[in-house]
Amino acid sequence: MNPWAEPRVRSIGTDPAVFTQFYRAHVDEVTRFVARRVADPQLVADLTAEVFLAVIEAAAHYRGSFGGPRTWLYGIARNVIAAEFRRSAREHCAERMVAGRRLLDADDIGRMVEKIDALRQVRELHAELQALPEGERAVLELVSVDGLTVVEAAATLNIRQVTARVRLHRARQALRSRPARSFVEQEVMS
Amino acid sequence: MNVSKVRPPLGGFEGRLEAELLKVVTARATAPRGWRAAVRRPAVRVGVVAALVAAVAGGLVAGLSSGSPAGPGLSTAADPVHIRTAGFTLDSYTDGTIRVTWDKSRYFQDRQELQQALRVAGLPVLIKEGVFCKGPQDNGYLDASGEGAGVSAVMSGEGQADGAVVFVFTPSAMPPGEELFIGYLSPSQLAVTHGRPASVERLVPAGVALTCTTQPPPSHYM
Repeated sequence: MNPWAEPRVRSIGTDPAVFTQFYRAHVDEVTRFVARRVADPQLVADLTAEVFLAVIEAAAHYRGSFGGPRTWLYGIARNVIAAEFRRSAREHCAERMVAGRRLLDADDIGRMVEKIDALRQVRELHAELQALPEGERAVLELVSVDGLTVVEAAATLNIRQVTARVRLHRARQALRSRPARSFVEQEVMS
Repeated sequence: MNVSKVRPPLGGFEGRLEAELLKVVTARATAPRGWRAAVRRPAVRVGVVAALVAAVAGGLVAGLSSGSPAGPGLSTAADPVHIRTAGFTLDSYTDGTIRVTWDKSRYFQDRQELQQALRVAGLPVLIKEGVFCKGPQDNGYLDASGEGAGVSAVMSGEGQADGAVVFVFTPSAMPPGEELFIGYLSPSQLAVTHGRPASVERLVPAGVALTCTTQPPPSHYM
């Protein structure tokens, strides 16, 4: 039996038991998704909290045909992080008092730093992909940084599988054409 | 099966975050259906998860509250209108303008509340999600920011340092017999803008059949 059938996912925002099960099944995955893109443990905590708040808000509108709850969750996480990157440095200063970081104690920060350090090379890879066009970068990022299949990446981005494959091919071609190839670019090619 | 009773509690950050999020879910579960939108986005950016839950418990999150009747129809707005919800504030001024301040992440989420509040304040407006409408005589023109002819006289927006967005609406600039149409991209349409929330605004005739489509405009209009 599929534990995450559409009606069940839709109840995440209003059923504490369902939310608890979903949260525990995915909190580590979401934290790692954020830590692959952000090196500040407090910001990782903020954004992890924000992803799940967005999940609570969006759950009632979940449509199972879009690739299942995992790709839906990745899509939400991408939007939350993209929104964060769009905020100006000035806004960041004005928004230091956030809920996620208030929940961290010293042990949590230590664990978070370990997790962040372990993902350093992946984060460098993510940073180097920023030069690619958005559509192509998004597919390559999900496949090479997050380890999704092309099918899952297509579902996350709500595009056709053939489109995802074409964009992935173009992104890899673009990186191959660059004169100097770093370690992380070699990782992307593999 | 009650999963939360069977599973041991999580420790550390994950456990504390789970507890905070469960307060939000519980508040939504017990809120009247029409109020759930006001119980979402608990102002994470200013650390108000706990405050939001307290507000719900205290009955402070009450949909719309206003000096004018909060019905769905248009108000004459003879008196100043001041509306506070969990997501936005709306104030009308003696110069005839309406100022709405939002956390920018919410602007594209609470369309029904925004539509109702603006109507109460005297602005004829129609807000839809995933549907884009125009009047029967409209040639479909949109400028680079996704606005049709005449819209810039009726509404303008500016970002604030604290992350909020202030929209200024000027009902007196609305041509007689017309209303402001706002169409938000639905979640499934956000690929057009690579995930960036966006909308289309047009002035449309009120009380006539509009030409609507679910096909979003090209991305360069967003």
